[in-house]
Amino acid sequence: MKFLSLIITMVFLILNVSLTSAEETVKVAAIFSKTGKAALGNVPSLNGIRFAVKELNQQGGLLGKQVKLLEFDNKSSALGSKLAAEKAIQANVVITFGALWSSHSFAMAQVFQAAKIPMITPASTNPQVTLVGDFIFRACFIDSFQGKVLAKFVVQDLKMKTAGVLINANSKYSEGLAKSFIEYFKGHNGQILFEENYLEQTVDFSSLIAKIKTFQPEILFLPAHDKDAGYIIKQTRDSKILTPFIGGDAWSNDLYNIAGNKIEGNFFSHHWHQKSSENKSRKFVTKYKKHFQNLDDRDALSYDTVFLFADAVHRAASLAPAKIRDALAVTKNFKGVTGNISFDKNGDPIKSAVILKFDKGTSVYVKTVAP
Amino acid sequence: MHLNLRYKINGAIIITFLLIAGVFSAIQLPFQQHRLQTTINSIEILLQTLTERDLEQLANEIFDSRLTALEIRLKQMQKVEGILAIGVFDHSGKYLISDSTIFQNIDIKKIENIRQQSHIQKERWQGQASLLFSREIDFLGEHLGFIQIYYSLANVEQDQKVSFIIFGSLLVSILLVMLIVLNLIMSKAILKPIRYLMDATQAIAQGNLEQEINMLHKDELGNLSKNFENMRDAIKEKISDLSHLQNYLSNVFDSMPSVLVGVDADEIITQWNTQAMRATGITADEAVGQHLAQAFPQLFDQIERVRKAIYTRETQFDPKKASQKSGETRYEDITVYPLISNGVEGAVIRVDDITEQMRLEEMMVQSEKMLSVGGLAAGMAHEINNPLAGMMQSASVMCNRLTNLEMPANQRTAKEVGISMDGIKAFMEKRDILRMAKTINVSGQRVAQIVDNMLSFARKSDALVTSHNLVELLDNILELAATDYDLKKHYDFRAIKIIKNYETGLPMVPCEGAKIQQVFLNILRNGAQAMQEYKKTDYKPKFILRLSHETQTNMLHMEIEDNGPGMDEKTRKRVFEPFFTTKPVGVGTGLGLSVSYFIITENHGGEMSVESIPGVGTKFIIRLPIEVKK
Repeated sequence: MKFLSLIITMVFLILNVSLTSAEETVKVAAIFSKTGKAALGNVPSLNGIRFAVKELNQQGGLLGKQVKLLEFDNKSSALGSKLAAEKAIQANVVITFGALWSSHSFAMAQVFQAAKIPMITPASTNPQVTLVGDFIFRACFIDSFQGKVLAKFVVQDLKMKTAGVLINANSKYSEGLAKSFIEYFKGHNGQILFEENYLEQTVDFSSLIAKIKTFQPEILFLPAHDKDAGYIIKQTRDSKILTPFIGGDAWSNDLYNIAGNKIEGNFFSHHWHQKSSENKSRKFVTKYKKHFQNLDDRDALSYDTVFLFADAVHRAASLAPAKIRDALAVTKNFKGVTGNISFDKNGDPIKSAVILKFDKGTSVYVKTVAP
Repeated sequence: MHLNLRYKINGAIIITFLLIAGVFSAIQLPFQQHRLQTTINSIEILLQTLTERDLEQLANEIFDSRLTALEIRLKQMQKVEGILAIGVFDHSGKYLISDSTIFQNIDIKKIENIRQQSHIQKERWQGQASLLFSREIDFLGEHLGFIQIYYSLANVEQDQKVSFIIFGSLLVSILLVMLIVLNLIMSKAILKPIRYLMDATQAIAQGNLEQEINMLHKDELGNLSKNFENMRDAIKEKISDLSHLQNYLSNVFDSMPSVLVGVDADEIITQWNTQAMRATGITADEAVGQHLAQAFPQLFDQIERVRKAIYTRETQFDPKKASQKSGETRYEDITVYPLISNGVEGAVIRVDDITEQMRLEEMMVQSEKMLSVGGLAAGMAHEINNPLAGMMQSASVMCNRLTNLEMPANQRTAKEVGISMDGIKAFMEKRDILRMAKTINVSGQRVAQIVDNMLSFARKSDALVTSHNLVELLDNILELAATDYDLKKHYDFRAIKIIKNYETGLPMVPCEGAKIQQVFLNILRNGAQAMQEYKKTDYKPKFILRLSHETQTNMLHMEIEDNGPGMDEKTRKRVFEPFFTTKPVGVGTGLGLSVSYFIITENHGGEMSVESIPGVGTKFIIRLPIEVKK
C-alpha cells in the first residue's frame, strides 16, 4: 500500500512539473488566515501579497513566466497552517508567502523545511520561526530585537520602572516578545510586577484587570494580537484604570475598530510607518492606495516579501526552489518599502523599528530605533 | 405469657417488614444502577461537549506545544463543577501537562479503542469515586493527542448515600412507627383485654364467681368476654345448683336420724353426718380422711361387712346389735350399702339407734296390755263392784249389828238370846272381830279404789267437761292433800313449803275438774313421797307451783316442781309407763302417773312431760288447751 501510494505520488510530481513548464507560469503560495480569529489582521497582509504579485506580473513576471498566486487558508490555527502548507507542497509551488502569526508560520516552516521549499513570512517576528531551517526567511525584524526596542523605550523615553506583562498563552509571538522585553527591562533596573497568561479565545479579562488593580504597575506590556489587545485595553479603561499600555507590531489601526478611542495614548512598535519620508515608501503608498482604501502598515511587509522572492529569482535565474533559497540567503541591501533588507545566517533581516502612538484616531510616528 | 404473644407479633411485624424492605431494595438497586448509568451518560455528554468546545484550541496548543496555554486551559476546564483532574497527552501517549501528578504516560496500546471515540469508565481518583473520561484530540484529520479527565462521582455517591440513608431511615421509621403503633393498638385492643380476660378467668378459676369479666367491647374479644361471662354465669348457676343440691343432700344426710358414714374402698371416711358426729363427738371435718376404725371404733367389727358389701355389691345388714353405753344397753341396726354408681367404690354405713323404738315397742305392748286391762277392768269392775258392795255393806252391817248398843233390834235380839250387848261387844273386841270387819271394809274400799282407777282407763267420755279455774282446782287439792293424805300415808305434807307463782287473770280451762285434781294429786303425792324419803341435812322440802297462759299456743301452762332427789334419766323416761314404780310391790300400783298422763293427753288433748335433775329436783309440766278441740 505504502509503496503504491509512493509511486502514485511520484507520478503526480512528474506530471505536475511538466504541466507547469507547459503553462509557463510560476506557482507561488500564500498561506494566511482568511477565516477565524486572525482573519482581521491577516486580510490586509494577504492583500499586500496580491497587490505585489499583480504588480510583478504587470512588470512581465519572472523569467518570462507569469506568477500564479495560490491562496491557502490556515483557519487561524497552527494546525491549519501545517495542513495548508502540505496542500501548497502538493500544489507544487516554488515558494510560499506567509503566514502572519508566528505560531502559524512556525507550524508551516517545519513542513516547508522538510519539503525544501523556501518560505518567507512577512511579519512573524518570533525568532524560532527562522530557526526551523535554512529554507525559512522573513521580511521583518525579530522579537528579540523588538522586545529590546520596546523595553528601551519604556526605560529611557518613558522613564518607567515597573511593568506588568500580559501574555497570550496560545501565541508564540506573544511569548517570545514578552521574553525579550522582560529580559531587557529587568536588565535595566526595571521591575516586572506580574506576568499573566491568557488564552487566545478569552473575551472576559476581568481576572486580568483585577491583577492590574492589585499590582498597579506604571506600564502594561501587552504583546498581543490586535483583537485581544483591543479587548483588554477597552475593558481595562472601562474599569477606570488609566495605566498606559505598550504593545508590539501585531497592533495596528484596527484596534480603533475594536476598542475605539479607548486605545488613545498607547505606544507600540512597528516595522514601518506609511508617513515615512522615504521615496520608495511614498511611491508604494501612492500605488497601493489606488487599489485599496485602507493601507495597513503590515501591507508594506507583504509587498517587500514578494519582491524579496522576485529579487532572488532574478539573481538565481532559476525557478527551482533550492536555487531560489540559495539566492534568498545571500540577499544584501535589498531596497524594500520598509527599509533595506540583508539576511543574516538565520534568514532574519536586520532592520530598524519605529515607535508609534495612537493619537486622535490614528497611529502617529514617535521615533525610529535602529538595530 | 402475654410477653410471648407480644414477641410473636413483633417478630411477625419485623419479618414482614424485612421482606418488604428486601423487595424494596430489590426494586431500588436496579433503579439506582440505572440512575448511576444515566448520570454517567450525562457526565460523558458534558465532558464530550466540553472537550469538543476546546478541541480546536487543544489541538493547536498540543501541536504548537503551548504548554502555558494548555495549563491555563486546563485550569479553566477545571472550573467545570465535578472535574477533579485533567491530563493532556501527545499522540504517542506521552504525558504533556496536567494539574495533577496522577497522570502518567498512557500505554498507547491500551487506549487503542478510544482513537475513534470517547471513552468513559469508573476509576478511583485519590481514593474517591470518579469517572475517567478519555478522548482523542484530533482536528482537521490530525491525531494530536489525548485528554483524560477525572470527573468526581462524589456527588453521585453522596446522592446515593443520601438516598440510601433516606431510604433506610424511612424504612426504619416505618418499622418504628409500625412497632409503636401496632404495639399500642395491640396493647389496647388485644393484649390488655387478653390480660384482663386472663386475670378474670384466673380469678374465676380460683373460685371468685363474682369476678366481672364482660368488657362490653364490640369486637371478637368483647364477644369472647361475653361468652366467658355466660360461661361464668352458667358455672355459677351450676355451682349454685350443685351447692343447693349438696346442701340439700347434706341436710338430708344430716337430718337423717341415723348415723351415716360414707367410706371408700380403703375404708377411709368420705362422708360423716351430724348423727355420726353426735355418736362419736368427732366433727365431720375431723373425721373425713380418717380410717373408719380410727374415727368410729364401735364400727371396727363392721369392716369385714363393708368389704363384703363392696365386693358383693349387696347390702349387708346387722340388726339389733346390742351394745353397752354408759351402763345402758342400747340396740342398733347396722346396714352397709355398697356404692356402685359412677365407678366410685365405697360404702355407706348406716347405724340406727333402735333402743327407743324397742322400748316403745315394749311400751306399746304394755299399753296394749294396759288397754286390755282397762277393758278387762271395765268389765270386771262392774262384776266386782256389786259383790264388793255386798261384801262391804254386809261387813258394815255386821259391824253395826255387833257393836251398836243403841240399836233397838240389837238390844231386842240380845235379850231374846240372853246375851247382853255389852258382852257381845266385849267379846267382839276381845276376839278382834270388829277390827277384822273393819279390815274387810278397808280392803273392800281399796279394791273399790283399784277398780275405780282401772275404770278410768276405759272412760273416754267428756261429758263431764266444764270450765274450771285451775287456781281453785290446785288450791283445793293442796288442801285435800294436807288434810287427807298425811294422816293416811304418814306423809308430812305440812312440812313441805308451798310456793305459788300464779299468773293473774288466767282464763278458765275446759276440763274434768276431778280428773285434773286427780292428776295434781298424783303428782303432789309422788313428789311428797319422794321428798319424804330424801335424807339430807338441812333439807327443806318445797313445791313450786306455776300457772301461766301461753298466749301464742293458747294453752294453759302448769308446772309442779319439787326439790326432791330427782330421777335418773332412765327412770325419768319410764315414769309414765303403766305399772312402772320405784316403790316396793304393794305400796304403789304403778298406775298413778300413767293414768295422769292418760288423762292429760287422751282425755284433755293436752301435753304432759317431766324434767328432772338428780339431786336437784323434778318438774312436771302440764299444758292444757284453753279451747276444747272438737
